[in-house]
Amino acid sequence: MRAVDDVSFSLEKGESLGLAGESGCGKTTTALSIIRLLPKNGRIVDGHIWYGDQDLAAIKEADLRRIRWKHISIVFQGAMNALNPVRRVSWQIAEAIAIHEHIAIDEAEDRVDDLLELVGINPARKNDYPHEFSGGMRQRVMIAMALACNPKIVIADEPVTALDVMIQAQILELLQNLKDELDLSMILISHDLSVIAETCDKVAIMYGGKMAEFGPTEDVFRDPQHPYTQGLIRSFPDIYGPRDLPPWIPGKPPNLLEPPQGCRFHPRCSFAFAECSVTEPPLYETGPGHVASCHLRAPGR
Amino acid sequence: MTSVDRMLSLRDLRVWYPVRVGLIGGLVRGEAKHVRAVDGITFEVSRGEIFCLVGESGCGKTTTGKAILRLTDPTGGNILYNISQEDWDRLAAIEGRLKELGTPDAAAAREAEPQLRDLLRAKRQITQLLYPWSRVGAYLEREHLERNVAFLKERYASVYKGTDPSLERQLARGRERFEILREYGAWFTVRRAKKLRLLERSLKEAEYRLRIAEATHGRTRRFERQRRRVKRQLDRMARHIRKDSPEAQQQIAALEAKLETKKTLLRRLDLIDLKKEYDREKPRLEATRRASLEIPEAASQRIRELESEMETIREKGDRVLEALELETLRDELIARYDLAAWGKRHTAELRKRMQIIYQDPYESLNPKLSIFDIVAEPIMANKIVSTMSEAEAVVRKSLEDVGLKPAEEYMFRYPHELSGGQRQRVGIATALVVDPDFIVADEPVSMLDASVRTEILALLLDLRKRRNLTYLFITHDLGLAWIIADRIAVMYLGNIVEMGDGPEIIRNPRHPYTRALISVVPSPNPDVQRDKIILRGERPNPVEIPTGCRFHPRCPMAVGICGWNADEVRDELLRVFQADEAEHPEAQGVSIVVEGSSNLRIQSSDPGKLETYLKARMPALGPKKPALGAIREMRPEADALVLTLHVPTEPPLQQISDRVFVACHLVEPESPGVPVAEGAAVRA
Repeated sequence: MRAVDDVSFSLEKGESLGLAGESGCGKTTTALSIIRLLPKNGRIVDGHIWYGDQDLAAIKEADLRRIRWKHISIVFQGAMNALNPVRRVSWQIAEAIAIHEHIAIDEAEDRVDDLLELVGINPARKNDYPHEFSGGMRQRVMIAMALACNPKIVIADEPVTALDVMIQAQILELLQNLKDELDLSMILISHDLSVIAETCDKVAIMYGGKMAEFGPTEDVFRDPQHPYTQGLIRSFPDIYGPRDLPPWIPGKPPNLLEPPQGCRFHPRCSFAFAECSVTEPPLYETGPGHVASCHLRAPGR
Repeated sequence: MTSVDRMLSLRDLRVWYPVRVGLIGGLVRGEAKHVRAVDGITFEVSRGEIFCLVGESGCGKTTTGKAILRLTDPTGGNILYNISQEDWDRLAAIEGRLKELGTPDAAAAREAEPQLRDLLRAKRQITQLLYPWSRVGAYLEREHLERNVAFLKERYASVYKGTDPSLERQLARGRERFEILREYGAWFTVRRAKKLRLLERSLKEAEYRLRIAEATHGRTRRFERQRRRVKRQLDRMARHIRKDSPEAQQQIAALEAKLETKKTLLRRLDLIDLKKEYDREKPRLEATRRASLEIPEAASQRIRELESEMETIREKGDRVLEALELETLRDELIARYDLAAWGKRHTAELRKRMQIIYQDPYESLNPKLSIFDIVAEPIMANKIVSTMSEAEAVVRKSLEDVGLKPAEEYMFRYPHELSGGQRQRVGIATALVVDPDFIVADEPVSMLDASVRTEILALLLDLRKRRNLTYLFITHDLGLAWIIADRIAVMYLGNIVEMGDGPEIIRNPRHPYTRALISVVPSPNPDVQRDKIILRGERPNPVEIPTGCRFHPRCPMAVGICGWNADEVRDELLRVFQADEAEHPEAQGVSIVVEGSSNLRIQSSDPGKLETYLKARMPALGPKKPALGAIREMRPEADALVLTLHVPTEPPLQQISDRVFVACHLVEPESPGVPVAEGAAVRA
């Protein structure tokens, strides 16, 4: 199965990038392959992941270990379940430090207080177990853990899914503040376009394992170029928009075992024409730094 | 208030769960603690509307939905179902009067009890005396008798014509035996008849299982074997009891005759009974009719005496009695409509009228059952259909109604073979299969992808139109509520803080909590500009609900009257003193003692100086430390400064404008026509 196929994007220092799309479109797979954490049956078939001048897709596992967590770390999906229920919170954070920096766990625990304070948890609670924390606090712990080794890039995989809207706002604000304070680059994965619209500088819309559109967030949301992006944005209810049921995209996402010929979106696309089912559209540039993979955007059309 | 078709009226509904404090803890402290999941909420749902309950997780919205369906038992309050306008007005009148009278407290009730007994005795005597003669008494009696006579007449006619259902039932058992005999022949006993019925059912079951197996490409051999075995048994039995034998013919004839005799006999007996009863009732009716025309002089004399006696008692016993009486009346009225008081039998009946759509279609469908089994379960359990073929027709219609067409393609599949959207459609079909008129939709789309979400919403809206449904829509997503809700109630910590017309609540929120909640809803529109109000901290534990307004500890607008208790004020004061220690020596080393619920005692060697210092600091601290605003009065004593606080009161849900209710101390009722500032502006 080709879960992610021909995806390219770049992330500058201090920038935040949003990865959006329906479930099963390859968002998480893309993120996991950046630090090569794919499940056993998954592998990077082709392509490069440049971090500075190193190709993360090609370097040895031992070298990658030096990069993981110290340079690139990840906030895993599902804070409810990603923490070990039988270990104290402080131990779990310290473990991440100890493993990556090769120091004793007791030594590492000295840094836990600062980390917890950084993410807004009272350090007095560091010896609690995860079940004593609420969902929002557990997410904060996950963030503290990702920040433990002062990384340059943080990948946040659905950091606010399944959280209440107020807690969601708190966590997003925290991420934004941390990004500014620590000068982080961030990749934010979310199925919720409105979250990405409000937090990211750039956005990549994925569909069926491919990138449909990529560009600065404002441009993409104000003037979406790909029919899928247009449909997806329209399908989100907007509390500041009209009080109508938003239109939806008919059909369902493609089966990635046998993706459709040509453009993967054409069976659901209302603008599809003959060429769409034959050739796969490349990424056409439609504005500064704004690309869309759609035949409609071909120059001269 | 205009006439509304009320489907549900919740009145002060409470659902509390006891918390284990342990035997020793319970004995020592003598207190029981409760999680107050739903803490006194009141709202109405009119027929055909979509009523949205919104709030964060743990605010009690799901518990409310479950309490309505009686999936959890309410601890207090009522849920009135389908109350008529007439009774609603009556209830309102009773309650209005009760409010005027004030609630009778226990002591007053005890004092009034002997008087009440006298009064009731007098009233009873009057009623007894009056009953046959008075207009009301006679009217009631006559009405009752007329109904009886009419009923008897009707019953007589139906028995006479042979269309009486109870007679039918009595005969049905004999007829069933007869039918089996006619089909299979002689040598048949009661036990054999039973066995035959059983075999027929297992044959149908085996055939059904076989069809599922065929449709799902499962192992058919086992079911085929089973079917053949049952078929063989059935055939053997049928052969054994041939119907063409002379004995069989004889038996059939005998039974037929017996059945006919029994029928005639039963009918005759019934007719005789009915005639007798009719003859008894008819003259009584006549007598009442005659009697109601005149009241004997002696009786009226006694009535006058009793009435004056009652008048004196009433003057003495005054309002308490009326209140007690009204309360009884109100409770009787409520009990007629109250779901919370209904027993198991009633609740089971209710399942056909009220259903629920669950949140997570990945977990709410039993993975071991086929779609047909899942959807058919409610109609089987409620005995709406009795045979498989009937069930199949109903299930097919239900599946096609929710857009799973053709139904055959889905019926014999299993949940894991469907996508999320299709599963939720199955969930909806399961709720609709009993043809309910009220649906609790508990976050029905929150687990689905955005592109599928609207599809399901459109289906729900379409079904509302086609099937005349009423929804109680539970969601945490305000964007969703904005689009579909006719009315919205915002819940916080088990209480409704704001309620009203959907667009009005979203566009023009009044309660600080609603304002904050709406301000943080992310929008896909990059042009939207607004100030986010991000509340600090998380909701408090529902075991220890804050005093006064339950939102005050997190409220960005809180002031002194919002319900700060003595502990909160003390902690705030200690923080202030600590910060001021360097500049103000009088703030050094003071200790504060909490006295009762609304007094604080600051131990100090010079209370006068402390007072001047505090009073001087107040204006600067006020806006940042609203808890200090709760100090109502300072009084220096010999060795301490005594502070008196505002008594915390919980703000009631009061009407603010035409159709908006808010529970906040800071929101005043609006005079009509005054525009309110827009919450958010959209740049053009």
